[in-house]
Amino acid sequence: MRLNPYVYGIMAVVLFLGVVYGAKAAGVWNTSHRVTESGELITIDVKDVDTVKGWMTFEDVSKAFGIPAGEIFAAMKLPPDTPPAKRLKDVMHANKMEVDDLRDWLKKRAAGAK
Amino acid sequence: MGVQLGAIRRRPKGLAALWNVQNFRYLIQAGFLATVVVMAVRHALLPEGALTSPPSPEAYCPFGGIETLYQWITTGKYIHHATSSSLIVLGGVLLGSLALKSSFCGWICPFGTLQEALTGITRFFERRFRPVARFAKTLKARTRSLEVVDRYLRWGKYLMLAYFLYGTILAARMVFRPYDPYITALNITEATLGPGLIILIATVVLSFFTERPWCKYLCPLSPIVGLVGKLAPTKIERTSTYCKDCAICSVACPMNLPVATASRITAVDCNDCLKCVAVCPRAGALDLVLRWPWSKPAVAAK
Repeated sequence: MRLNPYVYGIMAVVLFLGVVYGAKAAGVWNTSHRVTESGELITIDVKDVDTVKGWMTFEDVSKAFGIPAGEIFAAMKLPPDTPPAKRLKDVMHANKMEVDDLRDWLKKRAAGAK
Repeated sequence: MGVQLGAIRRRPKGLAALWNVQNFRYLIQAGFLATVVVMAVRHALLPEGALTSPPSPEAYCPFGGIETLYQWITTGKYIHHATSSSLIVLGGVLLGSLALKSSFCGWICPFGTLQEALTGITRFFERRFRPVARFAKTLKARTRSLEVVDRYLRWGKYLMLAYFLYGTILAARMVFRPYDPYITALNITEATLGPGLIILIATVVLSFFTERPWCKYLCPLSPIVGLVGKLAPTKIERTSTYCKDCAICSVACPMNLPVATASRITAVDCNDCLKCVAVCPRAGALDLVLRWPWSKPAVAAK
């Protein structure tokens, strides 16, 4: 059976957007790294370093883990005058590093403290 | 009623000629590309500390879903840069592939659209300026010997997929992200010189000379969509009874597939843009049909 190409195109769009809007309607859609599907703000769990997100600041990390910001800057070889209120990803990317490098250091530090 | 099978299709003229399947497809593609561009700009202007909207268009990238799938199945968590939307969009792409083959690549993918648009610029100048057309012809003739290289280079996307899947599972992070030209393009204001930017620049430059270079050689999503699409009931079939072997379909194919000699297009590389179907001058010679995946083409090719 021949399929009309216009119908094919419309079906492609409807199917794709149907899944996206269906997920939104079902309440399982989330595009944010800052809040959960239920709208709760993601905060740092010191037992799980992966909860450290790029949008968080050095102040947030320092406060949650109880590590002075200066120690983090020194470990990451960042300039000591880096503003602690800056977002992690902005500072790390500006210094050609990834937030993952900070997470790795936090993991190692936590493992060393045990 | 319709044109008799095998007869030459009459092409509409004037304004009516503008209404055709390819322009309809371009319209859909442009809609998705524009949406992504608007999202990227709005996200770039996001004030520090804003909580939810507007989201980054990265959240709509299906490859993020592939990268986080293993982590999500094994731990219930997402890897960094992935959210539930990544998995849902991947689900949409796979469902689309199961039902309509590579419709996502040919009709929706904004990065494919960008490459097509760049090739379109070259085609525009080729049509209007003779020296450009001559240069393109010479270049094509001189690079004909590279067709063998092209065949081998196409395996690159399978290697990419295998490498990044393995890396993602092993490292539980998006190892593909620094190499991803699409993500680099979305975050162009933050881009620094690295593999992602180099691949993006190479893709942009190559797109002026060859169609969809990223899709052909490196896109790791393309093999997944193509392989799942083999189960789809939609097929492009050539009916040898009506085909006059003009091979215009093969020339039109952006993925350089030998449409004119196949009875059914089964190649994973086919992105279902339907350009071949659109240019075919004979009614019933090349069509988009619904068939069971295991069924044979209605009329065997010559």
